Amino acid sequence: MTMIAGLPTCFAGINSEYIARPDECEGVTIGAGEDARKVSQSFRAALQDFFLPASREITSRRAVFMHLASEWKRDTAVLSSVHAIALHPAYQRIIGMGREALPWILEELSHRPDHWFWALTSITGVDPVPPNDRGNLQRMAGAWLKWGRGQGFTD
Amino acid sequence: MDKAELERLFPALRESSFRITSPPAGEYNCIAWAAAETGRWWWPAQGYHWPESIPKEPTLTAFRQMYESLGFRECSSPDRDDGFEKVAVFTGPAGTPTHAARQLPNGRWTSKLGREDDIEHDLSALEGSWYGRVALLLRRSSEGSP
Repeated sequence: MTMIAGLPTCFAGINSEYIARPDECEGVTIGAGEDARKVSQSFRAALQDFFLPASREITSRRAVFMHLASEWKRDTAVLSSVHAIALHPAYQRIIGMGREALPWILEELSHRPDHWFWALTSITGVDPVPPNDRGNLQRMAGAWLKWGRGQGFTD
Repeated sequence: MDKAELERLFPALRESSFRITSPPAGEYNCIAWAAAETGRWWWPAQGYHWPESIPKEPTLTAFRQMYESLGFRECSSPDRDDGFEKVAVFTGPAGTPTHAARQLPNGRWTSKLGREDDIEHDLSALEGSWYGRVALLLRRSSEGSP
């Protein structure tokens, strides 16, 4: 119990909708002023931001993606087999990330055409590459980037 | 990829002479390069270039048929034959094609290494853990007919 101006004062718990519930502070003066409310709200927001930071979660998942992509590129650099390239464990894990990985894959593709097409088709179930462009990585990438813009994944 | 890294990946290159003949390029692969094309990635998989009439499966039979459709016929020797150009197809332990190389007029071989460089090399120098062994040799007339 905190004493403020000589009076016992009760502050709210962080999960409370109020500064304090009367039953929590029976017989004491409730600290329900505007300053106390702001302090409590800020504290609650800070605590939630620390434990459930959506932005930090995305960054972390993206870091996982980047790590997997780097591992995949390194390990498959001298391979020609599309099957071997796509069956690399890191690539399979990226496919396992599902639609969450689509913006990152498309961003990779915008920097440099690479063998992301198998993953893109596996995740989305579509293949926007015209038959005549099959094997032309530049055009395949272009078709997927156009698809991505149409779906709102990229600008 | 520098020579030291290539020698690390393909130890047999250390025992022979080889040289890098082009910078890395992801636009084409060894299968296309062996067929003298540099614009597309050839592989019998969904979304990639592969001749329509050839089964789209990663088997030695399909690769043989693909190169036969370009005028190649199976042969037995990797040595240079006047008037012919040759292709060698490598397979891994399971018999699945992994790589192809093309013979140069000087009798040596040229390979595109995945997304990496083209190199000029001895044929056996690329045998090993990445590409397995040479499983098929084909040749065609330098004028384009078998």
